[in-house]
Amino acid sequence: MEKRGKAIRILAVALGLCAATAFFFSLKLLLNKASGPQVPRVPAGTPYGGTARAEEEESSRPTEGLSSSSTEESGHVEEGIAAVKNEEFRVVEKLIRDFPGNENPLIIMGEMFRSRGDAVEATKYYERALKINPRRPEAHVALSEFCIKEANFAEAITHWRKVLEVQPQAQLMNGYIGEALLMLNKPAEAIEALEKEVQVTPYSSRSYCLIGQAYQQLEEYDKARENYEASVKINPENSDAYYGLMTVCTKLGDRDKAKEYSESFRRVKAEAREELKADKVKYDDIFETQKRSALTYVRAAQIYRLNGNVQTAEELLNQAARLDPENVACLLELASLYRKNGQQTKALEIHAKIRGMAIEDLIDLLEFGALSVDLQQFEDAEKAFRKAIELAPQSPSGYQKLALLYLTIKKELAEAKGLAEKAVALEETAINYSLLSRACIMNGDGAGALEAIRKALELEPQNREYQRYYDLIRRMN
Amino acid sequence: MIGRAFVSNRGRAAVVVPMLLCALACARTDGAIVLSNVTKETGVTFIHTDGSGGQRYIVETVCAGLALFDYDNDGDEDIYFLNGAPLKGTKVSKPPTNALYRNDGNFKFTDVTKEAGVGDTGFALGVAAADYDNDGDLDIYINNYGPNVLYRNNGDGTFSDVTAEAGVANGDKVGAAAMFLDMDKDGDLDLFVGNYVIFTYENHSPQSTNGIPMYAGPMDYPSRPNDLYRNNGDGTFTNVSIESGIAAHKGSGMGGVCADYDNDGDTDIRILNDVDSDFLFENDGTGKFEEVGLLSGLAYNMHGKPMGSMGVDCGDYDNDGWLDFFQTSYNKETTLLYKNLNGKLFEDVTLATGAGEGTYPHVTWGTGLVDFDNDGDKDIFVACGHIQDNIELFDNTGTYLVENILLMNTGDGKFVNVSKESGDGMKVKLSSRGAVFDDLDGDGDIDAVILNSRREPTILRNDSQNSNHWVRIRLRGVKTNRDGVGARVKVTAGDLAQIDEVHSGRSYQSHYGMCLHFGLGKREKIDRIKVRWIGGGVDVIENVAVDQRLTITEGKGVTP
Repeated sequence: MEKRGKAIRILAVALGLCAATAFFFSLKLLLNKASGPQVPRVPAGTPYGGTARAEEEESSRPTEGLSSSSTEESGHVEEGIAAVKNEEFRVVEKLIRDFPGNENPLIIMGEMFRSRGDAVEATKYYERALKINPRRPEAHVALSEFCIKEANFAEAITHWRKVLEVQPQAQLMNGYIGEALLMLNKPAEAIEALEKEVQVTPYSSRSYCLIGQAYQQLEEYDKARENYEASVKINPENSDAYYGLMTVCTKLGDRDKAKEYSESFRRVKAEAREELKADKVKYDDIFETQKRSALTYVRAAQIYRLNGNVQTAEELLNQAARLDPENVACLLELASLYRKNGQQTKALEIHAKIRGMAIEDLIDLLEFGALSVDLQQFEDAEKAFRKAIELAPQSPSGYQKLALLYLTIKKELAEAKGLAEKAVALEETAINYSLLSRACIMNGDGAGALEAIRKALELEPQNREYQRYYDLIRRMN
Repeated sequence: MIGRAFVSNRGRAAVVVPMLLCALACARTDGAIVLSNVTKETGVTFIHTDGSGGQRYIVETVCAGLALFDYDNDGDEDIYFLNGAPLKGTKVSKPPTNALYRNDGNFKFTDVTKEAGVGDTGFALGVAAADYDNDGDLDIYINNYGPNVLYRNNGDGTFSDVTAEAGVANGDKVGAAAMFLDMDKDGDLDLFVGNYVIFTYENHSPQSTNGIPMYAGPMDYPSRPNDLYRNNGDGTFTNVSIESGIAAHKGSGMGGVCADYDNDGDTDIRILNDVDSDFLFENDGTGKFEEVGLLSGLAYNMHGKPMGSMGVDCGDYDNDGWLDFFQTSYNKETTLLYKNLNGKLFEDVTLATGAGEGTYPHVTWGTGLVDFDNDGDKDIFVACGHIQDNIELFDNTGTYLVENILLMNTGDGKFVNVSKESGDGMKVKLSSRGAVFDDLDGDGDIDAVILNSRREPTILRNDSQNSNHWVRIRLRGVKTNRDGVGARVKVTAGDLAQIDEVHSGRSYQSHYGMCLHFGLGKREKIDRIKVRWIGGGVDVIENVAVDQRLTITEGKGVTP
């Protein structure tokens, strides 16, 4: 589970869900990291190269009980990390040169400096990117982070509001705004923002907790209690909410409950502290630097690939894979590139590698399934899609792909119809209705097929394919 | 017409704006707090060292406090600076020592370290001064990384190291705050010794981020309990950490202050912990303590977060008769003001009062709830400076050298950051640690001394221009300890009633305030001064003149 979570997190970052977005809610954690245990754990004498060599990767992974304690060794580590950072800078600099007028490379450079704690340089690049395209949420979120560090909460709010102008349903933004308003001692306005956040993120324990804190600031203890209770209902490990409950129950004279909540708080807090300590012990500065660089290379590769420079994309992805061999996003990108280049065997090897890492990743499973279909290895494809459904039962993709597979190989047709129906239930898109229509036909349900394709056409009236298909089925019926 | 009206309005604005600015400036001049940097004129040549030699041992970052106390009983406060010592791998030609500077008046000081015999070469972190043997002069306890030191004042301007015979060396721990208190009301002062984390050269944890070396934090080392020593009354102490309940709680001790927070007549102990829950040890009156930090609301900030807590002071910021706590913390956290609601519960009122204004970006250390403008309410001084001397290399939103912060109490329970308008003393950019406050030149207002890591100290003369009145009270215990440590004083002048206590050890591992200073605003007469001594004895003095220094002796009232 832990690995899966890690894989999903890495993937999310790689997909552009900028790491910066997590900064405010987990500000304390980040700050602890900044001030805390950043132990380079490399055995003495480990060779270290700037663009690390694959065969040496294992030796640079975190090693319990080892730490570089001599100044000389620290010097080697510093030099090694500096080499990785210099190379990363060189790559992004070239990316900017190769795509002048494109804001994406500028954002990548901004992100690179941000991750190095260089707010001054990062700001320059984010601002350049915003000049080209003022509607880039990542840039605003990153700039807001710098504002927060300097206690400029009002300006941070301006940035988050700009994100909301672009993406009114963006998650977290109203949460950040609410938290900043609390810091500005504006609890009533904070509640307004946080309630908007709850509308887009109904299962946010954090938002309910913050609403509780706002009501507590307003001395409306009953309402504070209600929200704290809602918060721990969603996340029974939310120590802040237990602390709030303990405080407001004391205020409300409910001593027994206050005591009960104080015990929950102590327990959860102690567990979290132990986890934090364990994380600190595991922290490996070299590997973290490599991971960040790998991410930069993946992003750069995506830009090259989108612009048709497959060779550079491949080089960068391979470089990323050497720096961070377990970067699933990188491996998937590489597999996808190979698959589209007709290098199916190479793609399969990468999927096997992901599988070997015991990582369960939805995109990996779907891609691997699709690759297996290409290679007519239908059993493998079927297994992959079934696993995808098991892994993400609320995602329509697995149902959709498996239904399509069965319809293609004319197997389990009844189940294929059921799968298509499930995909439609999860996501009413034209493509899912079209799939359902096809499943109905294959199961002899002409009326169902007509109804489904009619809905697909309703959703995409300009789609000629659907129109033709609709006409055909109507004639058949 | 439109054009004319526009011109006319502009002309009017041109007149009104300067008038407003002038009015604002005048208001500032009249009531403003002005702290002038007079360091260079004082003759103080002390330079702090933190023992660093490139290894980045954690102890370097938390070094050190300082003390203001009258070692020679001449009526003015002298300065004792703590110093680091060369750590493993650091070579020095001459070992640095702590330094005692005698106050010669008029902001002139003389280094008397050698003749006084107080130049300890240990790695000093915390200090408290108190007359532990009740012989009429103030002794010094130094909390070191390594064995601690107790200097007994010989009464002739010299001190003797009596650590071994007193039994208070406290092992080889990393020290923190030191505080004297009469925990069992037996008339002599007991000793609380704060301990930081368990650090040795062997468990040193080198750190880096993005390949840039940095100092470790407290969570990288095991925590340990503090120590408490009972004064046996014969010049020796007994470690009572276990039986008192103190040893039952492990932490990463930092600053502390002893105070009767619940007004029950005994002295309780507040000790902060670095990135852990802060402790409040409630005294049952006999020297047995229960840790009540969480239930009293003092363990965490209002959101249940542990702070990187550093220094702490107590004082009644809103003059409601209860002692409140103000404490400093790490950067990306604000300082915290806890309002004492009823002696049982505290509320974090930082946001509501503005007591965290300007502090969020900085690591904050020494602090004092001090009435700089003598207007009858306590302002707040906050010493600032990052622990990472290279912070700019891995987070350039922060800086190692930074200006300190002054928050003025507006009298309605709120604070305003007046640092920018409070004189050149607030423009000094260094990495401050301990901060102490007292009237160094006897002119009726409170001055400040700040210890800066790796640099010269900052000495600030209070040059505020106002016609506010004041009174300064020195206590003399007879049955109780000689300096009235733990005694509570209430001064009533017209509509203004203020309380304060004598503390030995406060701020960031520092010591100051053996005399109590009360600003009185425009009130020209004190109606009543009530002293409640440790043990319950009470003295009341009525109809007292303002702008004077008083000595109140237990059972005798005002004495020369």
